[in-house]
Amino acid sequence: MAKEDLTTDSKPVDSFIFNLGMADVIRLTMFGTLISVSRFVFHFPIGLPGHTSVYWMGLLILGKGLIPKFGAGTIMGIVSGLLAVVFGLGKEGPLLAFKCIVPGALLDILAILFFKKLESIWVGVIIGALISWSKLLTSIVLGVILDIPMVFLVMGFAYATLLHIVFGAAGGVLAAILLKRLKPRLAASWQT
Amino acid sequence: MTFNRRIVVGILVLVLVAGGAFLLEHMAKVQLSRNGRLVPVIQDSKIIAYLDAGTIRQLSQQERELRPGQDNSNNHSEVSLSFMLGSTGVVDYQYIEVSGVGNSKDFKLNPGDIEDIALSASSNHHTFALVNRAEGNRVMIQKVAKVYVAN
Repeated sequence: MAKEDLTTDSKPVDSFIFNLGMADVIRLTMFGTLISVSRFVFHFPIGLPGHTSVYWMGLLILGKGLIPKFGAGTIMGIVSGLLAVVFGLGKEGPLLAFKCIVPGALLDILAILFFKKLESIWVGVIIGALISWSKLLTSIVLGVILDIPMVFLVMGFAYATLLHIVFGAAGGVLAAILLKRLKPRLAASWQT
Repeated sequence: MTFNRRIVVGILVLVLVAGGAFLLEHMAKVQLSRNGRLVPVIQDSKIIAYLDAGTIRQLSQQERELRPGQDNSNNHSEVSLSFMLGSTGVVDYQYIEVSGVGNSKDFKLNPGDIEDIALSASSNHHTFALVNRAEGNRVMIQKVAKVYVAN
């Protein structure tokens, strides 16, 4: 009887949102915050589009790899998006949140397609590059919505794509290496 | 589908994305240049800048801020040809040749002729026209397609 009560009591906590427990959501919030803070702190004036993808996509994949549940990427995206709007990063205003949510949501889908094996270097390369590119595509869609001159959207699209792919892939590789080392250590305490 | 096959498909998708982006950019440039939505400024057979209606509006705003009290102080979508040329880095030239979309007439303008000439973004937000301010903003070319700078 006592056991039954415990199970009943723990149910709402186990599925706080997207079938994720409260502890997982708090951890994902931490990753989302790290993404925004890293973008704020490590924004180098090197003039290379997409260089933030190294740590942005790296942290997204790392978070998803450590909490491999559906919706983890989306939650990190929502948190980092909201914080980016609050910090005033970017020039898109509140629409900036979509630039963070889209890669997170895509990560959730791609992780399923690759059997959630995010610790594989090749999976890191592919997923990192694709979610980084999705960020670029979202920027362009936002540019069209905000009526930014066509010149700025069309010119250098290929170059920006190439750099987003390269930097995203680099972030994915870093995340895969970190996941290989962290996952066995955190498996007991983090994965429920 | 096995895991390894998915990896191969993923790599192929990445290659297609990168290649497709180059193709898409090239196609967009050709298509938009053809209908006057993206106008190349050519000097020494090289494209030195691209213009569109949005750029004209932004240049117009800059010109109003830098040169208050000019003819275009009330027009938010018009920039003088001389200001546009200066912003693209053109200083010395023999003449400017502006051509329009389709069969419209080309205009050859000497440095002394361009003072009253302006570029005006159309209200449909996509193209811009060549107008003569001295003649009450008479439209010389409805949709500008190319600006050629001869040294």
